[in-house]
This record gives sequence, structure tokens and C-alpha cells, in this order.
Amino acid sequence: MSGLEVRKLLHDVRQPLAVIQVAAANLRIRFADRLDEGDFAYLAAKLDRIEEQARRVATLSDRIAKIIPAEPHGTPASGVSAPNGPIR
Amino acid sequence: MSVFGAISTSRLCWGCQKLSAQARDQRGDIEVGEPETTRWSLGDLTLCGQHGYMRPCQRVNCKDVAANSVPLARLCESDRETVFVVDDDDDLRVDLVELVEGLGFPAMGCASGADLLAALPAYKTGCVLLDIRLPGQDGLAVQEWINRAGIALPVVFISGVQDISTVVHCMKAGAFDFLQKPFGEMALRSAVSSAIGHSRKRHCRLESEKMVRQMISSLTPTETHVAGMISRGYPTKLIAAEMQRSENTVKIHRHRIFNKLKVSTAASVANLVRHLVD
Repeated sequence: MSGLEVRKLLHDVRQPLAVIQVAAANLRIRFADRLDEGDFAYLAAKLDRIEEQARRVATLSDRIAKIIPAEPHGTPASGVSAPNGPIR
Repeated sequence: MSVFGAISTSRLCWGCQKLSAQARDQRGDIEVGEPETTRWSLGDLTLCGQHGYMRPCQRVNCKDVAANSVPLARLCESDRETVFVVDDDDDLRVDLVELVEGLGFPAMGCASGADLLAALPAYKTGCVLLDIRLPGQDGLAVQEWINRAGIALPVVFISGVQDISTVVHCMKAGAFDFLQKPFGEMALRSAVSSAIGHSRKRHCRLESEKMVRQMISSLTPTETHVAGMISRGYPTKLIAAEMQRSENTVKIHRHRIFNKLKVSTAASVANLVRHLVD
């Protein structure tokens, strides 16, 4: 598997993480005024934990991205029109 | 109750989104600045002790969870201010639209660049949250289209991209901001708030330029000539000599110019004329 393919996979990993983060934020906003204080504190703590775990996976993917071989020189920025397309 | 309508009070600190003891004590109406100069009303804003010191300009958006939430700034907001969320991932798009609406801005989801481009021209203020990888035209192509079409909406890229060069490329191409997925609520909040603020400022400037142009175009050719001389600092006597008219005639022109431009000093005339030339 080439470095490029790994990067694409890592990019795809981040998509569901974004969904998790945004959904957690929505839950927090939705229930801020609808739960009593104790329940809300519980919910907020759990949501914090969920978000924290998503961030951990994101950090992991960053670390993996750092150890895979670098792109051939000049690919990404000019690579907007590169044959395989830039990594997005 | 703020002047902009009822905004429900949240128990979350605006700054950190956490429930805190101080937050409950510091709840209340907070109005920033002089009523005639401020553009931002904060409505009911909850802040914990840690975030209570934030400067007003950072607190553009109160933590507003009301279903009938109202955007806070009214002065330069156009009727159809919208945050466009462009992402082909249905799950993310739906939740992101909900979150943006939770922040108090009307939002519209678009699954592709083509959807966005079809809707965009009708809007004057707002911003675009743009994924880079999209079916059909990709985000960069969409941004280029927005730039070329002269649409004044700031573009905030949202992407899982990890290489710096793509980010640099986006920013060079005129992106307002770049959010790397996954991003937290705070990052989104600050990016959207500042993009919207930027968009409103730009809208204001365009509107005032339009107004100035209208006022100046209401001048007759002679008045335009006199206004030009006034703005270059010529006194009435010299203008009269140059035009071979009596001083009284020039005074009448001067009076009419001041009336039409709604100013009372020669310096203001100079300002407006320069504004037009620039």
C-alpha cells in the first residue's frame, strides 16, 4: 500500500470522527435547558468523554500520517491537478 | 430581555461550554458598548469566572439554545443571511446544519458544489462551510467559482486533510479559515462567528459605497466640478476665479453640494469624493 493510499484512508477515518464530534455538540446544546442539573452534568461528562475519545483517534491518525513515507516532492500543493488528485 | 428579543438563558458558559457554579451566578443581560455604536447585543449570556473576562468583540454569539433563536446583530445583516454547509456525507451535513442553527445562524445543507452554486447568488451575507472532497466539482473548484463570480461570502474549508500544502493552497486561494476534521464546537463557533462578522462588514461597506455613489451621482456636472475643487482644498474665492463666476454663485453650489451629500464640512466632502475615487 502506497503512502498516498494510506493518507487517503487516514482522511476517511477522520470523517466519522467529525460526525461524532458534531453530533455530541448537538446533544449538549439540545439538552442544556431540558435536563435538570444533575442529569445534565452526567450527560455533559459522558459527551466530553466521547469527544475526547474521538480526538484521541484523530491524534493517532496524525501520528500514523507522520511515520508513513513523505509524498514525492511537489505533489500535494500543485497536486490539485495531479493524476491521483490531492489528498483531501 | 435584550432589545433584540427574548433569548433563552443557558446554563452553559459561552466560553467553555461547561456547566459551572460561577456560570449560574453570572447569568443575565449583558449589553456591550454604547447603544448607538455597538453592533453586537449579547442577549442573555452565561459566563463562568474563567471566561468572564473575554473581550466583547469575541463574544459575538451568545449561547443560544432557544428554538426561536434570533441572530444577534441586526445592523448590517441582510434578510437572507445563511451559513451554507457543503459536504457530501449526509450524516455530517445533517448534524452540522443542526449545530450551526444551534449557534443561532440559519443554515442550509448542500450535498454538492452544484447545489451550492445554484443557491448562492441570492444571498448577500453569510458564509460557506466547504468540504474539499466533493462529488463533481471539488471544493477548490467551487471556491474558485465563488471568487470569480464576485460573491462576497467567506469560505471556511472543512476537511480531514492532513498535509500542510493543501491547507496553504486553500488559504492562498482566498479561504477565510480552515477547520480540520474532526473539529470541536468551539472551533466551529469561532470560525463561523468571525466569517459571518467579516461578511457583514463587507456587506456594510458595499452598502455604504452604494449610498455614496448614489449621493455623488445626484450632483450636477457643475456641482461635481465644484465638489472636486472643494475636496482638493480650494477656497470659495479661488473656485469662483477659476470658474469665472461670482463668489455668491459658488457659495450656492457649495451649499447645494453639502445638502446633497448630507455633510457640513469641506473635509467630509473630500472624504466622500476620495471614497469614490478609491
